[in-house]
Order: sequence, then C-alpha cells, then structure tokens
Amino acid sequence: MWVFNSIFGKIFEIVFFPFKSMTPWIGMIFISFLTALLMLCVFRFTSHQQGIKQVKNKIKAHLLEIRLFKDSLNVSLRAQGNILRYNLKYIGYSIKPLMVMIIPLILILIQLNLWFGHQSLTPGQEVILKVEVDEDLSLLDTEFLIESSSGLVIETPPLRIEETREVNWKLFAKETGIHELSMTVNGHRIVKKVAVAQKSLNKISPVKVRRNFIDELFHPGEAPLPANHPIKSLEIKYPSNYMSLFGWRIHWLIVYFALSIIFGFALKGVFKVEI
Amino acid sequence: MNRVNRRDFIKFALSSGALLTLGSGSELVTKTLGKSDTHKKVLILGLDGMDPHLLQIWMKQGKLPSFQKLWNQGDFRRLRTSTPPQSPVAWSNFITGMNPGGHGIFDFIHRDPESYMPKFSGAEIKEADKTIRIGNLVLPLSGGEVKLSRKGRAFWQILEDHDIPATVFKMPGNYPPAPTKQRTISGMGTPDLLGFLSHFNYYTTEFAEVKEDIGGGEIHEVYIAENTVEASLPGPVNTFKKDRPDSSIDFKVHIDPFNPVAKIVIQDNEFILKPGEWSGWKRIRFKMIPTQSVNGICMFYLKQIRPEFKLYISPINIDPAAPALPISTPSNYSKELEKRFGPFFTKGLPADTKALDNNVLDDGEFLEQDDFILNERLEMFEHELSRFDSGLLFYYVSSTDQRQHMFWRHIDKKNPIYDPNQAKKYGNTIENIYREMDRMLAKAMEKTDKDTVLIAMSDHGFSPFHRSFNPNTWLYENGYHALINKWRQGREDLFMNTDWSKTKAYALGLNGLYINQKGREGEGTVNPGVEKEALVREIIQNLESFRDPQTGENPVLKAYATKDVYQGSQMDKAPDIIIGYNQGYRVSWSAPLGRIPKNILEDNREKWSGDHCMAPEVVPGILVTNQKINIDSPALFDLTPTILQIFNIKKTEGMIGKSIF
Amino acid sequence: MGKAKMKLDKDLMKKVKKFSEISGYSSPEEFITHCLEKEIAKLEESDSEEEIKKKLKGLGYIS
Repeated sequence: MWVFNSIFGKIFEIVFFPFKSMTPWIGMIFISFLTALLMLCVFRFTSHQQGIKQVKNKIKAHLLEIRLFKDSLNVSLRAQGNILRYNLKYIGYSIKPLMVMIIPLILILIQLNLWFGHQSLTPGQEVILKVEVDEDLSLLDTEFLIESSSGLVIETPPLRIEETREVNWKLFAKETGIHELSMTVNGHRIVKKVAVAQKSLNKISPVKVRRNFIDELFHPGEAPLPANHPIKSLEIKYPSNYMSLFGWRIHWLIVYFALSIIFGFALKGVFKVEI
Repeated sequence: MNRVNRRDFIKFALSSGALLTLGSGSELVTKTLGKSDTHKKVLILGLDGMDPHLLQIWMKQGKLPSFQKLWNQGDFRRLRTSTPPQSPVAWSNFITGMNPGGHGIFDFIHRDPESYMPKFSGAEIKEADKTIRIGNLVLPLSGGEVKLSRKGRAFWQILEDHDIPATVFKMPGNYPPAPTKQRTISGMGTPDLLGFLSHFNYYTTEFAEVKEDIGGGEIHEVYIAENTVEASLPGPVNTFKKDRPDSSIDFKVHIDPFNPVAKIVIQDNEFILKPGEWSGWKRIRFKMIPTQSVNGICMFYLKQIRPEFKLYISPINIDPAAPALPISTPSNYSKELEKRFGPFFTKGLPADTKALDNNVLDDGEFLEQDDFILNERLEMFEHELSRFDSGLLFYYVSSTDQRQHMFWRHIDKKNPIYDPNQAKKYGNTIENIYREMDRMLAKAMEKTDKDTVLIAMSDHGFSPFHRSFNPNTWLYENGYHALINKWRQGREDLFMNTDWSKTKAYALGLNGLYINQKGREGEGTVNPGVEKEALVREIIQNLESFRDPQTGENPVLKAYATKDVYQGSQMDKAPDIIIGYNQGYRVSWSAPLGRIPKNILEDNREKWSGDHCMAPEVVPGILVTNQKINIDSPALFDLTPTILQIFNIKKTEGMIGKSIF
Repeated sequence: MGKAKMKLDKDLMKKVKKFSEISGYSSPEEFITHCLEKEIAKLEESDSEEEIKKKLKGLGYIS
C-alpha cells in the first residue's frame, strides 16, 4: 500500500509544487479544473452519450408539451409522467460513469485532505501529540523516550490515559521548518514529521499509522509503522483548516465540489460531452 | 446596462476576483462614518481611576516622562469627578455633558421604587413578549431587546450629525452601545454570556473550599475517579424551553496517574495544561434547540493537580466573532477585531476581582490574567492608533482602576490586612501600571501633530478603603429604618427583614439614600414636600456629624441633597441623598443590596483595598493635555462641550459645562 | 399572638437544646423559630430575587 501511496502522493506534490507559495485558492482552482477534466473524460468514455442526448431531448420535448398544452390536463399529466420516466432513465445512464469515478475520486479526496484539511503550525503555537498504544502494552510501566529537533519543544511529561489507551504530550512550535520528532518505545524507534511552515499551501500528514490496509488508505501521507509495532498510531492534532472567502469560512470540500462542477459545466461544450 | 455602469460592474467583478484570489488574506474593514477628513483631530486616553496625587509623586520622581512632557507642552489639572464618583456615573457625565439629573445614571445600582428591588443601572433587558409554545419549546416571535438606560445623546452621536468620524473604544456605561454608525465597542457594563456582571467557575476536590454563596462565581466540588474528573460548565438560561433550564456543557479532565499534567476535553477543544498554566481562549457553544446555539469564549487555568485538584474557568465572555448580544456598532466591528486579533475580552470589566477576593486566584495569578487584558488592550490600541487619521479616537483602559482596587493594600501600611512580605513582592504593581500608561501615552504623543488635541484623563482618583459603613444600620439605629425581627438582623439581603410601614429611609447602591416616599415607593410613609425636605436635611446633618468611635473621624465627609446638586429631566429617579464618604471609608460590602448588618462600622479586610466611591472632593481624576487649560477647576462634563468646540460644534441643550480651552 | 404546640422527637429535642445553647440562642424556641424562618425565607425568595442577587453580585464593589 505504501508504494502506491508514495507514488500517488508524489503526483499531487508535483501538481501543487508551483502553487505552494500562493494562496491556497490557486491550487484549489487548478485541482478542481483537473478534476473537471477527468470527470468529463470518464463521462465521455464510459457513459452512453447518444442515449443521454436522446433522453435529454425527450425531457425537453415533454417540457415544451406541458407549456403548449397547459389547458389540457390530460396531456400535461401524461407529459409529466414521461418526464419522470426519462429522468429515471437519465439517472440510469449516469450510474456507470459515477461508479467508475467514485474510487479515483475518493483517493483524490484523501490526498487533497492532506493539502487542504489542516493548518500547519505557526511559531508560538502549541499542539497535542497523541500516541495510541497496543492493548498489551502497559501504559505505566513502559518508557516513552521522546526527542525533537530544536525548533520544536516538548513541553510536558507524558500524560497517560488508560480509558482511551493513549499517551499525550504538549508540543510547542518554536521555529518554522519541517521538524522531526523521534520516539523510542521498547527499543522501537519512530520518526514523525511535524510541519511548522510558512508556505501558504503545505502538505500536512497528521497521522502515522501501523501497517493495515484501511488505516493506510485513509492516512497515506507517511510510511506506515511495521505491523507488529507496539504503537498503533501517532497523531499531531493540527488545527482544522478552512478556506476563507469574503470573511466566510468554508470547508475545502464544498469549495472543491462547487468549483469542479462549475468547471465541468463550463467545459462540457468544449469537449463535446453530454452530461 | 449603460457604459458607465458596465465599467463599474467590471471594476467590481475584478476587485471581487482579486479578493477571492487573496483568500485568507482578504478582510473587510469597518469604516467610520465621516465622509470628509477633518482638519482638527482629538485623541483621548481614558485611564480609569488614575489618581492625580500618585501621578504627581511619580512625575516628580521622573518615572512618568511622557506625562511630564505633555504637561510641559500644555497643562495639568485635577479633574472634578461626578457625584457620586462611580465609573458609570462619571463616564456618563463625560459622554453626555450632563450630570446624573440629566443622563439618569446615579449609581452602579438603581432600585425599582415599587418593590425596593435593586437592579443594574446600565441596561434593561426586555425579553420577547410574543412567543409561541410547541410542546416543551418556547419560540420567540418578536425579538427581545437590551436597552441602554442612559439618557441624552453621546458626543459621538453629535459628531456623527456633523459628519465627523469617531472611534470609541470600550467607553464605560455604553452597553448596549448607543445606536450610531460610528465605530464603537462596549466596555464596562457589558455582561458575560450568562447575563451576569461576572461569574467564574471553580472546580476543586478540596471540600473546605466549597461555599454555598459567593458573589461573582460558583465553586463546584468534584471527584477524581480513574484519573478523570467529570464536570459541567453552566451556561445561559435556555429561554427556548418551557421550564427555562440552565444550559450546560459537560467536560472531562484526564490526569496522569503520576506526572503533573492534565488534558481538558470540552466539545471539540482538547488541550493539555500543567499546574500554573493558562489555556488561552477556548470557544464553546451552548446548544439551546437544534437550530439555535450561543457562542462564548473562556480561559482555563489549572491551579493545581495534587494533592487537591483545582481548576478555574474564567467568566464566559460573549464571543466577539458571533456576539449573542449587541456589543459593537456597526455590529461588524467586533468581528473585524476578532479576525485580526483572535478572541478577546468582551466582558465589561474583564479582570476577575471576585476570584481574587475569594482566594480562587492569588495575587500573582490575578496579575497574570490582568496582563492578558492589558496586553490585548495595548495591541488593539496600536492598531486603532495606526489607522486614526481624522476625527476623534477615544481609547479606554481598565487595568489602572482594577489594579488600584486590588493592590492598594500593598502600598498602604494602615490597611487592616497589610503584609510586609507581600508588599515587598507586589508593592510596585500600581506604580508599574502608571509607568505602562506612560509608555502608552508616549505612543499617542508620537502620533500627535500640531492639529491634534491630545487628552489623557481619568474618571476619578483613588483612596484607601479601611473601614466600611452600613448606612441602613445607621438609619435603623437612628430610628429611620424599621426591622420586622430584631434577631434576624444582618442575615438577609434585599431588605427581607425591613418593616416598610415604619421605615422612613433606606440606602441602596454604593452611595444612594432614598426617602420612603408616599406615592413613589411601594409602601411609602413620608409625604413629599415639606415633610420629606425636612427629613432629608435632618438625615444629612446627622450623617455628617456621626463619628467613628474607633478613629474619631467622620465616616461621611459630606452628604448631598440631590435636588441641590443635580439638574435635568431624570430627577424623579434620583436618590434623595448621595453619601460622600471620607477618605478611608466606604459603604460596606453587603449594604448596597439591602442587607442590614449588626454594626454600623466594620474593618475592611478584603483584598479589594482601594476605592473611590467616596465624596467627589476626595477622589478627583486627572486631566493632562497638550493645550493650555483656561478654567480653574474643570469637570468631566466640561470635556464634552470642549470636544464639540474643537470641531466648531455648539454645545447642545442640557449640557451644563463649558469648554476648557 | 396565639401560640400552637408541636410535637418533636425526644432525641431531636435534645439536639435542639444542645445546639441552641452552643450557637448562643436565648432559648430552644428562638432557635427553632430561626431555623423555620430561614427555611421558609429560602422557599419564599422567588427565583427572580435569587437571579437579581446572582446578576449583581458579580460587581466587584459588593458581596
């Protein structure tokens, strides 16, 4: 899984590379544009284009029918029935391309969450490091050795919470940069990257997980820990990120879907795709 | 669309496009009203409670170079304060150019004459009178209202009429902010989210600390089970539900079994604190009904984990980003400040003096909190100062007042709880805040050009507070006030033990004394006119001649018949007598809300050890300006016509002062 | 003013006597009257009065 994640992740790094110092909006517009292109391609080659065209024409015709024969209840009702029927047929035609698109789209969304989902830390900020440990590791008897590079300060002794099987520390971001945090537990050493960056668009991986298909799928930003590691996961609780527009805070997912749809409709004529 | 419109449209589209691409960097800035730049500018620093005596001592010692420089450039005077010298009254004199007879603010606390019940003088809350009830829910059909009680127009409203821009930052006694298009944000008088003037929460495992009734906060007893404390943070009353329950938020504190560290989890906030650490602002949301919630901000302070667990949560401030009550004009102004500075203190007097008085916070912890307040205030000052280029800027600081109230005992060897060791540690707190204000003034002076009138002023000065006076006990012992049961004396607030049918006078609030007047009070006994007039004179004479058997001094320096000292349309609501206490004396802690303790005089053993609710002659304020002052003893209400005159505006009807320049 | 008699448990009466002396009441009657008055006052004091006190007691100048 990590091989796939690292290659797929690299593609996004290349795509976003030129936009890292610009407002996240540019990167967002660009990726939405690419997504629209991808969706149009998928639609073009996996859907029944002729069928969609016919269905849409039929719907238009029946709409016209309703307007022309608005005095005749009979005709209107029949036309409305037909519109409903062709709408269902239209949905039927769209299912195939949607099915084809859904898996790549989920993979893309998971990647985008690394870029847009979290704010990187700023100097002076505090953040929680949360380590989830294995069921059979004693929280109180295990020594957690933790070290950090100089730009990052470990402010507290370990806080062990039996209820959730986790150990917490408070970290303080002193300087900008990508800092390394290393932890040794029962002779196993782990290194986790912590981003205190000033670029506007950063790739931030909050969670490092143990080798496991599902966990790796949803946390693709970093190489996983070996499957037998006493630590289940290591998480930096970065603050959530929002995109800001005229003072409004909007979740990036909404912006992404809205822009992709706008681009999709704007470009469908250019690529002669029926949607 | 004609050509011009289209061009405008394109411009608009381009600029909004630019804003869009700016993304997070874009911000909308609240404009002040003024359309044209003014030639003259007025910059006023309102330094609450700054005392002329201390100012002069430290100026002489060269510790306040900016104040000295400003005096050399212009002038310095003791500023006559209001009667009584309480901040809401004093600042209202300044705001309106009237005295309490005109603006109707006589004290922090007024009363309802019908029921004798005390009420806060600043604002009245009217709940929605039309509601609809669906099952357990009560939905308002018309909006409730918070109404400013002060009468008369504020000087920035008059400036607005003349198109002169003004920014008025945290003017006391202006909650809710008087309607205006000028940039204003409310200060003293603004409640916390629960509608209280101040209400902290304190969670402790130490049983001895749990008291039933402490003013200004609540102490909760908690237990540690499996290294976790589970507790609940009380929120505002849920008026959407039929039985009006208090809302609340449950939270958890996880404690390490051995290490001194804890994690607090409340809603989506999760943060780690060591003992002695503050959390910074945390935003919380009280859910009322599925579509309605109320936002607040508060700070956590983990005082101690072992041997006893102690957690303090500051009063919940109204969230400036989504204010549940009106705190600024235009309403955007508080949001704009929040965007730039993050959450900030919105509660009227932000420092938690009640927590210090109740030993929930100690001197050092209180100062840490007040430093947050002061630093935030200074940061915002630089922001406002940097964009001040026309009209008027008024900027207010509360830390001067609050630190003098709480730390006077460290510079006053005669204070009943003076402790030389503590004095060594905190004895320079007051001097330091004066020096901090000197640095602030320096910044203002840098910004001052030849067309700028710069004024540094305070609403009153300060005096020690050694002994407290129970006016109702004095009235009772002199036959003016009657009790139902003698043995109940001193046990209840709100005149619960008063026999009104035999009572001629009662004291309520910090300086007010009222005659139990027929036709005005619910159970009045004294006829208005000659009978009342004679009684007023008699009480004044007896009050002024009363001596403290312990010191031989007169606790009351001067008592004023309000009909002699007030003018204006609000006289019918005024107390009949204002008690002006002598230096070292003040009303007792429990008398303002109608308690009648057994002794007339008591030592003040509280940490709140400096005060100003005395006779105005005892506690004048300061007035330092870069212009020559042309009148001998200027008063607060003289500054209002002064401001207007600088902008060539005539003083309005009802203003009683005259320009000082 | 008329008087009414009330029955009290013997053990309780002992305690009442003991504590009325300790807290300095002139008689057990006065002590009991005070206790009852206090409890009734608590019940009588309406929510709005409690609310008034809570609202105003945040003011630094009073307690």
